[in-house]
Amino acid sequence: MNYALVPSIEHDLAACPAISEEAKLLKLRAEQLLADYYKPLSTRWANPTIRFSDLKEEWERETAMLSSINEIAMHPAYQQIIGIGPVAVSLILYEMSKKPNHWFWALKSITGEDPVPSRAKGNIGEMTEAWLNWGREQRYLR
Amino acid sequence: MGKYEVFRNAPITEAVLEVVVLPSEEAKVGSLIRLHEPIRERFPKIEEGKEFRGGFKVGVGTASFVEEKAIGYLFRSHQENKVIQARLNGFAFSKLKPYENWESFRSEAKVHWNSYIEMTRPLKILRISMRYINRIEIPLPMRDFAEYILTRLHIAPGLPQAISQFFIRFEIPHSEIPAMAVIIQTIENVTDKNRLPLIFDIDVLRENEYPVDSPEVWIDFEKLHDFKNEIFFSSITEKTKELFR
Repeated sequence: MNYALVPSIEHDLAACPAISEEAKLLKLRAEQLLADYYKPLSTRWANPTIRFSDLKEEWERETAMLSSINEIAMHPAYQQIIGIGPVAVSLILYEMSKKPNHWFWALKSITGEDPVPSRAKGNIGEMTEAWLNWGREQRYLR
Repeated sequence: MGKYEVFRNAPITEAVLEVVVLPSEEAKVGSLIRLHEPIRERFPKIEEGKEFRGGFKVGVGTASFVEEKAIGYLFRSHQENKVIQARLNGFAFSKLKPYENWESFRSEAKVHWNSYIEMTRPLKILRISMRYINRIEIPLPMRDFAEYILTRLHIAPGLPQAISQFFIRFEIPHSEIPAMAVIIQTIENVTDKNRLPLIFDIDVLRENEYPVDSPEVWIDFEKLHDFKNEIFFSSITEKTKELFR
Protein backbone atom coordinates (compact mmCIF):
# COMPACT_ATOMS: atom_id res chain seq x y z
CA MET A 1 0.00 0.00 0.00
CA ASN A 2 1.29 3.48 -0.83
CA TYR A 3 0.86 6.19 1.74
CA ALA A 4 1.13 9.76 0.53
CA LEU A 5 2.13 12.43 2.98
CA VAL A 6 0.22 15.46 1.82
CA PRO A 7 0.99 18.87 3.28
CA SER A 8 -1.83 20.46 5.29
CA ILE A 9 -3.63 23.35 3.67
CA GLU A 10 -3.09 26.63 5.48
CA HIS A 11 -5.91 26.62 7.95
CA ASP A 12 -5.79 27.15 11.67
CA LEU A 13 -7.45 23.79 12.29
CA ALA A 14 -9.97 25.35 14.58
CA ALA A 15 -12.75 22.83 14.50
CA CYS A 16 -16.26 23.72 13.49
CA PRO A 17 -17.74 24.98 16.81
CA ALA A 18 -19.87 22.06 17.99
CA ILE A 19 -21.66 22.12 21.35
CA SER A 20 -22.90 18.58 22.06
CA GLU A 21 -21.67 16.43 24.98
CA GLU A 22 -19.63 14.41 22.47
CA ALA A 23 -17.97 17.62 21.24
CA LYS A 24 -17.06 18.52 24.86
CA LEU A 25 -15.51 15.08 25.33
CA LEU A 26 -13.46 15.48 22.14
CA LYS A 27 -12.23 18.88 23.33
CA LEU A 28 -11.27 17.47 26.72
CA ARG A 29 -9.37 14.58 25.11
CA ALA A 30 -7.57 17.01 22.80
CA GLU A 31 -6.53 19.14 25.79
CA GLN A 32 -5.28 16.05 27.62
CA LEU A 33 -3.31 15.09 24.53
CA LEU A 34 -1.82 18.57 24.30
CA ALA A 35 -0.86 18.51 27.98
CA ASP A 36 0.81 15.11 27.54
CA TYR A 37 2.59 16.28 24.41
CA TYR A 38 4.03 19.31 26.18
CA LYS A 39 5.16 17.48 29.32
CA PRO A 40 8.76 16.78 28.20
CA LEU A 41 10.88 19.89 28.73
CA SER A 42 12.42 19.52 25.26
CA THR A 43 8.98 19.78 23.64
CA ARG A 44 7.85 22.59 25.91
CA TRP A 45 10.87 24.68 25.11
CA ALA A 46 10.68 24.06 21.40
CA ASN A 47 7.46 26.06 21.52
CA PRO A 48 8.30 29.76 21.98
CA THR A 49 4.91 30.57 23.52
CA ILE A 50 5.34 28.01 26.26
CA ARG A 51 9.02 28.80 26.72
CA PHE A 52 8.16 32.47 27.09
CA SER A 53 5.39 31.66 29.55
CA ASP A 54 7.69 29.47 31.70
CA LEU A 55 10.47 32.07 31.71
CA LYS A 56 8.12 34.97 32.40
CA GLU A 57 6.69 33.17 35.44
CA GLU A 58 10.17 32.46 36.75
CA TRP A 59 11.24 36.06 36.17
CA GLU A 60 8.16 37.55 37.84
CA ARG A 61 8.42 35.21 40.81
CA GLU A 62 12.12 35.81 41.42
CA THR A 63 12.18 39.55 40.87
CA ALA A 64 8.98 40.46 42.69
CA MET A 65 10.92 41.83 45.68
CA LEU A 66 13.62 43.62 43.65
CA SER A 67 13.61 47.35 43.03
CA SER A 68 16.81 47.72 40.99
CA ILE A 69 15.98 47.86 37.27
CA ASN A 70 19.44 46.49 36.51
CA GLU A 71 18.92 43.42 38.68
CA ILE A 72 15.44 42.88 37.24
CA ALA A 73 16.69 43.05 33.66
CA MET A 74 19.83 41.02 34.31
CA HIS A 75 17.87 38.10 35.75
CA PRO A 76 18.78 34.93 33.79
CA ALA A 77 15.14 34.24 32.82
CA TYR A 78 14.79 37.77 31.42
CA GLN A 79 17.98 37.35 29.45
CA GLN A 80 16.71 34.04 28.07
CA ILE A 81 13.51 35.76 26.96
CA ILE A 82 15.67 38.20 25.01
CA GLY A 83 17.41 35.14 23.58
CA ILE A 84 14.11 33.85 22.14
CA GLY A 85 14.43 36.71 19.66
CA PRO A 86 11.82 38.35 17.38
CA VAL A 87 9.20 35.67 18.09
CA ALA A 88 9.04 36.98 21.67
CA VAL A 89 8.10 40.53 20.63
CA SER A 90 4.38 39.91 20.14
CA LEU A 91 4.28 37.78 23.30
CA ILE A 92 5.93 40.56 25.34
CA LEU A 93 3.63 43.22 23.86
CA TYR A 94 0.58 41.09 24.57
CA GLU A 95 1.81 40.61 28.13
CA MET A 96 2.41 44.38 28.48
CA SER A 97 -1.09 45.11 27.25
CA LYS A 98 -2.46 43.11 30.18
CA LYS A 99 0.03 44.15 32.84
CA PRO A 100 2.71 46.84 32.38
CA ASN A 101 6.13 45.76 33.60
CA HIS A 102 9.81 46.32 32.86
CA TRP A 103 9.80 44.82 29.39
CA PHE A 104 11.37 47.88 27.72
CA TRP A 105 14.96 46.66 27.90
CA ALA A 106 14.02 43.33 26.33
CA LEU A 107 12.01 44.96 23.54
CA LYS A 108 14.78 47.42 22.78
CA SER A 109 17.38 44.63 22.75
CA ILE A 110 15.39 42.41 20.42
CA THR A 111 14.05 45.02 17.99
CA GLY A 112 16.77 47.67 18.07
CA GLU A 113 13.96 50.23 18.31
CA ASP A 114 13.01 52.72 21.00
CA PRO A 115 9.65 54.38 20.39
CA VAL A 116 9.54 55.98 23.88
CA PRO A 117 9.81 59.80 23.67
CA SER A 118 12.39 61.25 26.07
CA ARG A 119 9.70 63.08 28.09
CA ALA A 120 8.10 59.69 28.90
CA LYS A 121 11.25 57.98 30.16
CA GLY A 122 10.75 56.67 33.67
CA ASN A 123 6.97 56.69 33.46
CA ILE A 124 5.96 53.02 33.11
CA GLY A 125 2.43 53.85 31.94
CA GLU A 126 3.54 56.17 29.14
CA MET A 127 6.45 53.94 28.13
CA THR A 128 4.09 50.98 27.91
CA GLU A 129 1.65 52.98 25.80
CA ALA A 130 4.44 54.04 23.43
CA TRP A 131 5.52 50.42 22.91
CA LEU A 132 1.96 49.22 22.47
CA ASN A 133 1.36 51.90 19.83
CA TRP A 134 4.56 50.86 18.12
CA GLY A 135 3.41 47.20 18.28
CA ARG A 136 0.12 48.08 16.62
CA GLU A 137 1.85 50.08 13.90
CA GLN A 138 4.24 47.22 13.24
CA ARG A 139 1.31 44.75 13.33
CA TYR A 140 2.66 42.77 16.26
CA LEU A 141 -0.63 43.45 18.01
CA ARG A 142 -4.12 43.29 16.58
CA MET B 1 -33.34 6.06 -3.10
CA GLY B 2 -30.28 8.31 -3.12
CA LYS B 3 -26.68 7.21 -3.33
CA TYR B 4 -26.54 6.68 0.40
CA GLU B 5 -28.96 4.96 2.72
CA VAL B 6 -30.92 7.14 5.17
CA PHE B 7 -31.02 5.41 8.55
CA ARG B 8 -33.96 5.31 10.93
CA ASN B 9 -31.57 5.52 13.90
CA ALA B 10 -28.83 7.69 12.44
CA PRO B 11 -25.85 7.90 14.81
CA ILE B 12 -25.45 11.68 14.30
CA THR B 13 -25.45 13.43 17.67
CA GLU B 14 -24.64 16.83 16.21
CA ALA B 15 -24.41 18.41 12.79
CA VAL B 16 -22.85 21.86 12.45
CA LEU B 17 -22.62 24.14 9.45
CA GLU B 18 -20.20 27.04 9.79
CA VAL B 19 -19.23 30.05 7.67
CA VAL B 20 -16.18 32.11 8.68
CA VAL B 21 -16.23 35.70 7.43
CA LEU B 22 -14.18 38.85 7.34
CA PRO B 23 -16.34 41.26 9.36
CA SER B 24 -16.97 44.82 8.31
CA GLU B 25 -15.06 47.42 10.31
CA GLU B 26 -18.30 48.88 11.66
CA ALA B 27 -19.53 45.55 13.05
CA LYS B 28 -19.66 45.38 16.85
CA VAL B 29 -20.18 42.33 19.07
CA GLY B 30 -23.02 44.05 20.93
CA SER B 31 -24.99 44.62 17.76
CA LEU B 32 -25.21 40.85 17.09
CA ILE B 33 -27.94 40.69 19.71
CA ARG B 34 -30.29 42.25 17.13
CA LEU B 35 -30.28 38.91 15.32
CA HIS B 36 -32.29 37.51 18.17
CA GLU B 37 -35.35 39.71 17.69
CA PRO B 38 -36.91 37.90 14.69
CA ILE B 39 -36.20 34.41 16.11
CA ARG B 40 -36.88 34.96 19.81
CA GLU B 41 -40.02 32.78 19.78
CA ARG B 42 -38.21 29.74 18.39
CA PHE B 43 -34.81 30.43 20.04
CA PRO B 44 -35.70 31.88 23.43
CA LYS B 45 -32.40 31.21 25.22
CA ILE B 46 -29.41 33.52 24.82
CA GLU B 47 -25.83 32.97 25.95
CA GLU B 48 -22.76 35.07 25.45
CA GLY B 49 -20.14 33.34 23.25
CA LYS B 50 -16.57 33.54 24.52
CA GLU B 51 -13.24 33.10 22.81
CA PHE B 52 -10.16 32.02 24.69
CA ARG B 53 -6.94 33.54 23.49
CA GLY B 54 -3.49 34.66 24.51
CA GLY B 55 -1.86 31.24 24.22
CA PHE B 56 -1.97 28.38 26.61
CA LYS B 57 -0.21 27.48 29.76
CA VAL B 58 0.42 23.84 30.39
CA GLY B 59 0.47 22.85 34.02
CA VAL B 60 0.58 19.38 35.51
CA GLY B 61 -1.85 17.44 33.38
CA THR B 62 -3.92 20.44 32.34
CA ALA B 63 -4.01 22.97 29.57
CA SER B 64 -5.54 26.30 30.48
CA PHE B 65 -6.12 29.47 28.54
CA VAL B 66 -5.21 32.87 29.85
CA GLU B 67 -7.85 35.27 28.62
CA GLU B 68 -11.45 35.19 27.53
CA LYS B 69 -13.22 37.67 25.35
CA ALA B 70 -16.87 38.05 24.32
CA ILE B 71 -17.14 37.32 20.62
CA GLY B 72 -20.85 36.88 20.01
CA TYR B 73 -24.01 35.10 21.07
CA LEU B 74 -25.56 31.65 21.11
CA PHE B 75 -29.29 31.40 20.56
CA ARG B 76 -30.82 28.11 21.70
CA SER B 77 -34.17 26.68 20.67
CA HIS B 78 -36.87 25.63 23.19
CA GLN B 79 -35.69 22.04 23.41
CA GLU B 80 -32.09 23.15 23.02
CA ASN B 81 -31.61 20.86 20.03
CA LYS B 82 -30.91 23.73 17.63
CA VAL B 83 -28.32 26.43 18.27
CA ILE B 84 -27.30 29.46 16.25
CA GLN B 85 -23.85 30.88 16.98
CA ALA B 86 -23.46 34.45 15.76
CA ARG B 87 -19.95 35.87 16.01
CA LEU B 88 -18.33 38.86 14.37
CA ASN B 89 -16.09 36.53 12.41
CA GLY B 90 -18.66 33.94 11.55
CA PHE B 91 -21.86 32.07 11.85
CA ALA B 92 -22.67 28.49 12.81
CA PHE B 93 -25.86 26.48 13.02
CA SER B 94 -25.98 23.27 15.06
CA LYS B 95 -28.63 20.59 15.08
CA LEU B 96 -28.42 18.12 17.91
CA LYS B 97 -30.00 14.67 17.94
CA PRO B 98 -32.38 13.73 16.37
CA TYR B 99 -31.01 14.65 12.96
CA GLU B 100 -33.63 14.48 10.23
CA ASN B 101 -31.93 14.99 6.90
CA TRP B 102 -29.46 17.15 5.05
CA GLU B 103 -32.09 19.04 3.05
CA SER B 104 -33.97 20.37 6.08
CA PHE B 105 -30.76 21.06 7.99
CA ARG B 106 -29.25 22.98 5.07
CA SER B 107 -32.49 24.92 4.43
CA GLU B 108 -32.77 26.08 8.01
CA ALA B 109 -29.08 26.99 8.19
CA LYS B 110 -29.51 29.02 5.01
CA VAL B 111 -32.42 31.02 6.43
CA HIS B 112 -30.41 31.96 9.54
CA TRP B 113 -27.30 32.68 7.47
CA ASN B 114 -29.28 35.10 5.30
CA SER B 115 -30.47 36.98 8.41
CA TYR B 116 -26.91 37.05 9.69
CA ILE B 117 -25.47 38.62 6.53
CA GLU B 118 -28.34 41.04 6.22
CA MET B 119 -27.66 42.40 9.71
CA THR B 120 -23.89 42.19 9.95
CA ARG B 121 -22.86 42.90 6.33
CA PRO B 122 -19.56 40.99 6.42
CA LEU B 123 -17.05 41.88 3.71
CA LYS B 124 -16.45 38.36 2.41
CA ILE B 125 -16.49 34.68 3.26
CA LEU B 126 -13.16 33.11 4.15
CA ARG B 127 -14.03 29.52 4.98
CA ILE B 128 -16.96 27.12 4.94
CA SER B 129 -17.16 23.93 6.94
CA MET B 130 -19.50 21.30 8.24
CA ARG B 131 -19.03 18.86 11.03
CA TYR B 132 -20.91 15.67 11.85
CA ILE B 133 -20.31 14.01 15.19
CA ASN B 134 -21.46 10.40 15.25
CA ARG B 135 -21.82 8.14 18.25
CA ILE B 136 -21.71 4.50 17.27
CA GLU B 137 -22.57 2.15 20.13
CA ILE B 138 -20.77 -1.09 19.38
CA PRO B 139 -22.24 -4.20 21.05
CA LEU B 140 -19.73 -6.13 23.17
CA PRO B 141 -18.01 -8.51 23.01
CA MET B 142 -16.25 -7.48 19.83
CA ARG B 143 -13.26 -9.23 18.31
CA ASP B 144 -11.89 -6.39 16.21
CA PHE B 145 -12.84 -2.76 15.49
CA ALA B 146 -12.65 -3.65 11.80
CA GLU B 147 -15.98 -5.43 12.22
CA TYR B 148 -17.55 -1.99 12.58
CA ILE B 149 -15.13 0.69 11.45
CA LEU B 150 -12.68 0.67 8.56
CA THR B 151 -11.01 4.08 9.00
CA ARG B 152 -9.32 3.22 12.23
CA LEU B 153 -6.38 2.61 14.49
CA HIS B 154 -4.32 -0.47 13.71
CA ILE B 155 -2.19 -2.20 16.34
CA ALA B 156 0.70 -4.39 15.19
CA PRO B 157 -0.34 -8.07 15.13
CA GLY B 158 2.27 -9.23 17.66
CA LEU B 159 0.97 -6.84 20.35
CA PRO B 160 -1.91 -7.30 22.79
CA GLN B 161 -4.99 -6.03 20.93
CA ALA B 162 -6.94 -4.76 23.95
CA ILE B 163 -7.19 -0.94 24.04
CA SER B 164 -8.38 0.94 27.09
CA GLN B 165 -8.48 4.35 25.40
CA PHE B 166 -7.50 6.07 22.17
CA PHE B 167 -7.81 9.45 20.50
CA ILE B 168 -6.83 9.59 16.86
CA ARG B 169 -6.99 12.34 14.30
CA PHE B 170 -6.54 12.15 10.55
CA GLU B 171 -6.44 14.95 8.00
CA ILE B 172 -7.53 13.83 4.57
CA PRO B 173 -7.31 16.31 1.71
CA HIS B 174 -9.66 16.18 -1.26
CA SER B 175 -7.83 17.67 -4.21
CA GLU B 176 -10.80 18.13 -6.52
CA ILE B 177 -13.08 20.28 -4.34
CA PRO B 178 -10.45 21.24 -2.91
CA ALA B 179 -11.17 20.60 0.75
CA MET B 180 -9.82 19.03 3.90
CA ALA B 181 -11.45 16.49 6.18
CA VAL B 182 -10.40 16.35 9.80
CA ILE B 183 -11.48 13.03 11.28
CA ILE B 184 -11.29 12.31 14.98
CA GLN B 185 -12.13 9.09 16.76
CA THR B 186 -12.22 8.24 20.42
CA ILE B 187 -14.13 5.91 22.72
CA GLU B 188 -16.22 6.51 25.80
CA ASN B 189 -16.74 4.20 28.77
CA VAL B 190 -18.77 1.04 28.18
CA THR B 191 -22.48 1.69 28.77
CA ASP B 192 -24.67 -0.26 31.18
CA LYS B 193 -26.09 -2.05 28.14
CA ASN B 194 -22.58 -3.39 27.48
CA ARG B 195 -21.97 -1.25 24.42
CA LEU B 196 -18.79 0.61 23.56
CA PRO B 197 -19.53 4.14 22.29
CA LEU B 198 -17.19 5.09 19.46
CA ILE B 199 -17.20 8.82 18.70
CA PHE B 200 -16.59 9.33 15.00
CA ASP B 201 -16.21 13.02 14.24
CA ILE B 202 -15.97 14.22 10.63
CA ASP B 203 -15.19 17.91 10.02
CA VAL B 204 -14.91 18.93 6.35
CA LEU B 205 -13.84 22.41 5.37
CA ARG B 206 -12.92 24.53 2.42
CA GLU B 207 -10.82 27.67 2.65
CA ASN B 208 -11.82 29.97 -0.15
CA GLU B 209 -12.90 33.59 -0.57
CA TYR B 210 -16.49 34.08 -1.73
CA PRO B 211 -18.70 37.16 -1.92
CA VAL B 212 -21.15 36.87 1.00
CA ASP B 213 -24.19 36.36 -1.21
CA SER B 214 -22.49 33.98 -3.64
CA PRO B 215 -24.62 30.95 -4.65
CA GLU B 216 -21.34 29.11 -5.14
CA VAL B 217 -21.10 28.76 -1.36
CA TRP B 218 -24.12 26.44 -1.35
CA ILE B 219 -22.82 24.47 -4.31
CA ASP B 220 -19.60 23.93 -2.37
CA PHE B 221 -21.52 22.97 0.76
CA GLU B 222 -23.13 20.21 -1.32
CA LYS B 223 -19.67 19.03 -2.33
CA LEU B 224 -18.52 19.07 1.29
CA HIS B 225 -21.59 17.11 2.28
CA ASP B 226 -20.85 14.50 -0.40
CA PHE B 227 -17.26 14.32 0.83
CA LYS B 228 -18.49 13.83 4.41
CA ASN B 229 -20.83 11.05 3.27
CA GLU B 230 -18.07 9.39 1.28
CA ILE B 231 -15.92 9.30 4.42
CA PHE B 232 -18.70 8.03 6.63
CA PHE B 233 -20.10 5.36 4.33
CA SER B 234 -16.68 4.11 3.26
CA SER B 235 -15.70 3.81 6.91
CA ILE B 236 -18.56 1.68 8.18
CA THR B 237 -19.44 -1.95 7.53
CA GLU B 238 -22.72 -3.79 6.90
CA LYS B 239 -22.68 -4.79 10.56
CA THR B 240 -22.50 -1.11 11.57
CA LYS B 241 -25.36 -0.21 9.24
CA GLU B 242 -27.49 -2.84 10.95
CA LEU B 243 -27.13 -0.90 14.20
CA PHE B 244 -28.75 2.15 12.59
CA ARG B 245 -31.63 0.44 10.76
